[in-house]
Amino acid sequence: MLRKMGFIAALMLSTAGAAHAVDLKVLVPATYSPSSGFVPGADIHKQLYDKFQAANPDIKIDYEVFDTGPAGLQKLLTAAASNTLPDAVIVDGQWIARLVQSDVLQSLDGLWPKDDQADFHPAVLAAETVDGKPYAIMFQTGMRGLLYRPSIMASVGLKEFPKSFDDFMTASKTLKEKGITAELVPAKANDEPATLHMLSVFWGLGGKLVDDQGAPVFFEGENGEHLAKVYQMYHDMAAAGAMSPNVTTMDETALRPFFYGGEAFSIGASSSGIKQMWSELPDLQNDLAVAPYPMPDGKQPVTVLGGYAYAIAAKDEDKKAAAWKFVQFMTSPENMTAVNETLGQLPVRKSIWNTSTFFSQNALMKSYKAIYDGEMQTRPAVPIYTAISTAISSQLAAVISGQVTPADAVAAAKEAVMREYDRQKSR
Amino acid sequence: MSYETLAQHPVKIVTKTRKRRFAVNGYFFFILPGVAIVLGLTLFPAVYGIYISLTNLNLGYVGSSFVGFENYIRFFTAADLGLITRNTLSFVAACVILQACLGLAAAVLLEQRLPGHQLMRSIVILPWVLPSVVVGLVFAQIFGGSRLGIANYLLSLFGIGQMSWFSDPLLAMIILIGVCTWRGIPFTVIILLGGLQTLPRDVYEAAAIDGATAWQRFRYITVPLLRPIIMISIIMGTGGALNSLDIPLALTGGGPGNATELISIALYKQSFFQLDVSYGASIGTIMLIVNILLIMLYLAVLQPKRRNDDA
Repeated sequence: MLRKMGFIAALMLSTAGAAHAVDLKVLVPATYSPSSGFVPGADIHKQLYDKFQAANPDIKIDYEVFDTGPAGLQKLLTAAASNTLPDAVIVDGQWIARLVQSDVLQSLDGLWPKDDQADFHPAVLAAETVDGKPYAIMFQTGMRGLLYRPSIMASVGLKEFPKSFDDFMTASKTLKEKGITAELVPAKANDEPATLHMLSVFWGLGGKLVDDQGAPVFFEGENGEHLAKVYQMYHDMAAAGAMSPNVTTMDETALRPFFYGGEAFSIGASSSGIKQMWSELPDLQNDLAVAPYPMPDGKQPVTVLGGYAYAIAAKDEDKKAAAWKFVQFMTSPENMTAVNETLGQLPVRKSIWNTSTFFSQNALMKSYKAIYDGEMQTRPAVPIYTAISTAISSQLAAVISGQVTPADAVAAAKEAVMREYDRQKSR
Repeated sequence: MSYETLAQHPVKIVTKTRKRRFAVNGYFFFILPGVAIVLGLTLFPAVYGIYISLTNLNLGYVGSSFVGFENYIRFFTAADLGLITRNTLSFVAACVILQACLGLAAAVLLEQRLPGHQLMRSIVILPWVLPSVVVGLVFAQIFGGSRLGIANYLLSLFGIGQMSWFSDPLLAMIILIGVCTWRGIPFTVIILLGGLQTLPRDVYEAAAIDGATAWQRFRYITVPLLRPIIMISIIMGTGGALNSLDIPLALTGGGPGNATELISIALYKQSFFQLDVSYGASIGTIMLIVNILLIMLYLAVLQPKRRNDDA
């Protein structure tokens, strides 16, 4: 009888507890959730969610997945308009300024301790700060560069990956004689990664996309010359057989079969896909390296900094407090390490680069660290950026095929962007 | 019924009127959910889309305002309008003509009841049951430029070098048309086969007795009698090709560059890549008008056939 009464009391207590639990609505891309298609990624998020629930029985996580592309931003803005925003959300770093502008994200000022902020790369902090206030905590970044297989490099007699563009073009002749394409970089129109690969070189040459007021200047003076130079490099590579013209219809994923089959010596890729590539071709675990883009005129490429970040959208104080607990938990050094290691995505905390065996010992990750320590830049957080990105990448096919000269491509991109910019300014 | 009689039975008439009114109201009550769903899911989005097309709503910005026909003017003066129109017209025309010709040929062959025709009917319909996105992705793999691509592998068996299938604008468009036609033929076959089975046998028998050849029977009996059905399949095929997004997006994505960009892809890119929802809505409204015109044409074609059937 006593046991029965105890059981009923426990049941009542748990029911009462559940009644007061905060229902935390979390909106996350599938990759960063227990619903990830990458099984280890799903497992680590499930473990972390369970751990959080165990430590916070008064908070009940109710997660939903959403798209990472522009449709994701559209969903968030629609949710804001219909007053159905989640409490916590993972956002693309590129969206932060726009979401703050629409009052979707809540400031983390006063919540996020300064000493913890000091563990992040300054460029990362800058990317998540609007008007001097942090609005999100980035937990990973992806860096783009050229992935290559050292074994193939050795087989063709190359001692190191060419650093200058001239050396690269010379090496491409040797590779071509052996039936290998030297480089494949995505060059598909309207494909953001295609623009990102170009931007590293364009910024490395000293180009600027927009001025301090956010007006497009990529076609003016030296900027225009630098962009024409980038187009010229793509054209020269294709004309010399160092790059297949097929790239004009390919995104990053489509390049992989050429790399796996040994047809391409190097491919433009993001670090975020490394684990996936290792799982698709296990031989790559000991035979994969990354190199910065070979640059002309002794210049160095600039890494495009981007990544996903946890943020809070809840305005209600209780929900906001619960959301902060969740964000703080997921972005703690320990848990961030677990997610970064499992997904193979580069960390943005300095401490993880030093303490994680994987990131501090793995040869490939060490190469990424060298790039990470170099110059990084974020894409301009202005609405005209998407038009610039589209206009720049849309010209690649015509430039590569030789139908349009680099100078004309810059002019055409300018015309497309300025028409849109004038329209936007008149709003 | 005379007035006298009416005066003798007033209660009965009132009861009948009430019953009829109740019956009408009852039917209305029962169809109301259906009407509400249809209006809510079709009419409202269409009207709202038209409204959005008259604003400058862009998800890259906060707020929006009424701009009249600015988005339509922008569309009709866009630099790439010529390219998109040319691509769309050539794509739609090629798909529709090929689907109609090949579909008619396949339907006539299947109607001959040759050995194995039942199995062939099932096989012919197979492309139609495959999800169109899967069709796009599979053909993208087949024509992948890598030597791992099936098309290049087959060429290599004959000693032919690798082809860059999607890097040539013309070749990319030909592949796109080919794949969409392959996917659309079963639909035409089903419609035409149904039409062929309704044609009167005695006309063919009379023609055969008069010494008409197979080609003459096809040219002077099958085609004229089947003309309304052929027209319907052409009109429906035109609508299908015009609104086609899944295969073009998965196969070429409008590339190389913008060489295979269709109006449907332009709408998608404007709305979901550029977040320029109002401009996307204006393109959608233009497509809606074209579709309405196609439906009117469809009804016009169907109407004489119905009158003939009724007669």
